[in-house]
Amino acid sequence: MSELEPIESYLRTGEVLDPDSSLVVRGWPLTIAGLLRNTDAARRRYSFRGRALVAISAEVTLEGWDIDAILSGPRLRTRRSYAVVVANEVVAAGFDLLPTFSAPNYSVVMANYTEDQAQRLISVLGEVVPNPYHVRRQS
Amino acid sequence: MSEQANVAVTLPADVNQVDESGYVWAFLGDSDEPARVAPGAIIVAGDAEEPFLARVVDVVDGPGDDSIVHLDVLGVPDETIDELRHAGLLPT
Repeated sequence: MSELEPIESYLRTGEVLDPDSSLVVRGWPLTIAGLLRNTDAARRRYSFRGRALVAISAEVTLEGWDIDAILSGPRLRTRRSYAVVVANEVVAAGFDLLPTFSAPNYSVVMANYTEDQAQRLISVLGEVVPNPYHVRRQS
Repeated sequence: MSEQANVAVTLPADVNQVDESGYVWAFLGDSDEPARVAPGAIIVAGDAEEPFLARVVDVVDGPGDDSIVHLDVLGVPDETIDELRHAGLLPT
């Protein structure tokens, strides 16, 4: 536990997130197994409030970062599909949103490392839809 | 990737997950073939269902005995295949 890096060291400050208009965007994987696998990496590296950080990474629409910019970015353009939801719904469902590292990255914090939490988050993220910016084979 | 069952990902990683470096990161210990994960190497990362191509930026000390690998995402494998075919370096 002592070797975990406190995520608090990497929180952005002074950023305004409008929970009613900002969108939380998460690319594949969007399965219970996939989310838990990704969450496991975070909890092996970071802590939050003195405990292992149970979270997945997502991107949030902010000033200068609209949905098209996020989906067509170098990382998300590799995803065939994604899910998107208003930030307020994520928070209302009991998940914290932490502005970690560089914008527009956010950490979606789960209460614990369980399939139930992963399923709940998947439910909140909603329908998985095709990414119109996904790079496809040309020939 | 319809050929998912045959995909051997060199380094499992979450393309959504970055750290303070700005790069995607993953644990070297999660790789079945860590010798292939060296700075400068181009590897297949992600998961078998949706792998991505990445260049290994660096490998740095991580928690415990593990190391952290930073990845610069290059795209999807199909892009590279297309380019190599276009250049005549792969049969069409």
